[in-house]
Amino acid sequence: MSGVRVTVAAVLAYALAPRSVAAVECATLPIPVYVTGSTAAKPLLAEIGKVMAAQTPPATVVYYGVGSCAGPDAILSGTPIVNTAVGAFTYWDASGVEVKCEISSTSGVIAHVGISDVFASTCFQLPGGLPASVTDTLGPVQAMAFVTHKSSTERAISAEAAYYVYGFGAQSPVSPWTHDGLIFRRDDVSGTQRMMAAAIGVPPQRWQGTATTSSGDLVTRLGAANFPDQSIGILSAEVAQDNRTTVRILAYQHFGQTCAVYPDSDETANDKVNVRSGRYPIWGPLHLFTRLNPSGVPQNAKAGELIGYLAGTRPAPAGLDLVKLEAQRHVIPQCAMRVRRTQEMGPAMPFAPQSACGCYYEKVATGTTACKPCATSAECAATAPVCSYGFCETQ
Amino acid sequence: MQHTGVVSALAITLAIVVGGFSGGAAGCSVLLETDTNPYKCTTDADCLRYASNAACDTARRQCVARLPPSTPDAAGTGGDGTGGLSCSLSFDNRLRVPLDGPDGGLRPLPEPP
Repeated sequence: MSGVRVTVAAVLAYALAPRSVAAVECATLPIPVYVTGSTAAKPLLAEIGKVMAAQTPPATVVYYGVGSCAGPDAILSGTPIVNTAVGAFTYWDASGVEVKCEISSTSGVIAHVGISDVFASTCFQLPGGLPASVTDTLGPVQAMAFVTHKSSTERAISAEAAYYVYGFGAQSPVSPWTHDGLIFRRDDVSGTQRMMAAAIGVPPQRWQGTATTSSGDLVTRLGAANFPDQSIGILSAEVAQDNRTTVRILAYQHFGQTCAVYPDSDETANDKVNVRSGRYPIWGPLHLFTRLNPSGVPQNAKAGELIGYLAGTRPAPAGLDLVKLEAQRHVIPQCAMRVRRTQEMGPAMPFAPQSACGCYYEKVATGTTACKPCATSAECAATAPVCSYGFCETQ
Repeated sequence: MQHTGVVSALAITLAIVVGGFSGGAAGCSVLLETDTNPYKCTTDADCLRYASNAACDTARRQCVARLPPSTPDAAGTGGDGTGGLSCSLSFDNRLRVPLDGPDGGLRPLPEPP
């Protein structure tokens, strides 16, 4: 297993960087819970970090976003997380203000929670699966999408076409995506690229096209493309929808299919209906890794608490509406899903969550729902007999 | 072919579908899968064994949950055997994607330099 790569140059750059104001030492904060991995989780962590900082006693969510595969690596191999840049570590105070802290120890700290957009097996060879001492709790679901310039006339792409575009780059036989400089990708440790790679059958290390350093960088480059039709990239639906003035999500048609679909019911909607039903295929849950003690519970109780909030298995603290927050962030809580999967791009299996929130999710995501509002289950019809999150649900 | 493993690898998978989607019935059912997708269908009727509100997505030929939960007055409840799931957009592989690989499919990926 490869560890988090920390180059000598990066460490030297950090050590030699000027510091005008010394940030607080992370270890001195109240009950620090160290979280690392995917950058997609940051908006959710900000809200949970704020609430946990206001608890009695307070706890501090200290976050270091480096990329999906670093999440499971930190938990599976215990690779310490170390400062590689000034301001790399973030926490949130009780009023929700984002603050930087530092870890001055050159040996770093061991993360309590590792977060990934993809299954650990998508990052590492794990023929025996995860060890019994590590658990992977499934959090909110996010979709990945092919995107193009907002002014592009293209509306859809098939898996077969994407295989050629990203597998062959400048030699792609699929018009109009034949210019390497306008075929934008991430890197081979990106969760987005790894999930897309599993979808289209091009190993992440063999992707052609122009590398970008982050989702934001990809948006910027795509937006600056001189030939909109020829531009293409990959983003999480979350980032793509936050940048709808710059990029356009392409409907996706999986191998052997004849129909292309959006993650949402149409290009401009925000209901994620095709992800929630499994019709749109490129999606996966956020993976929340932590170490267990011999009794099978998280070694770090606060880490378990944080994971419970994110996964929806623990009641959210007062004042924190995670379903609404997730809807606003274009991700889907497990309670709004009707399918689940147990391997990357594996079959979507029917799923009926306890305390379903699909109706409430639709309401807060789109402003409307066809579901019947309710206060108790007695108000619900037999077809949707359970009052959950204020609406009649099937379960 | 690179994509073969993703798309059509035959795998014996033991899937345990607990409660819920089977109409809320108690207990669990065990399905022996011989394909990556056991939820194949041609009409909504093929999906009734999973849930009363399951529908056949005729584009993917797979049972999916109809959203929002099916009610008599809800739109898109089907009746035409399509589960109300229509296809309004497609990418024409026949016109745009060359299938000139050695087996009449996609070409193998170029060898890394």
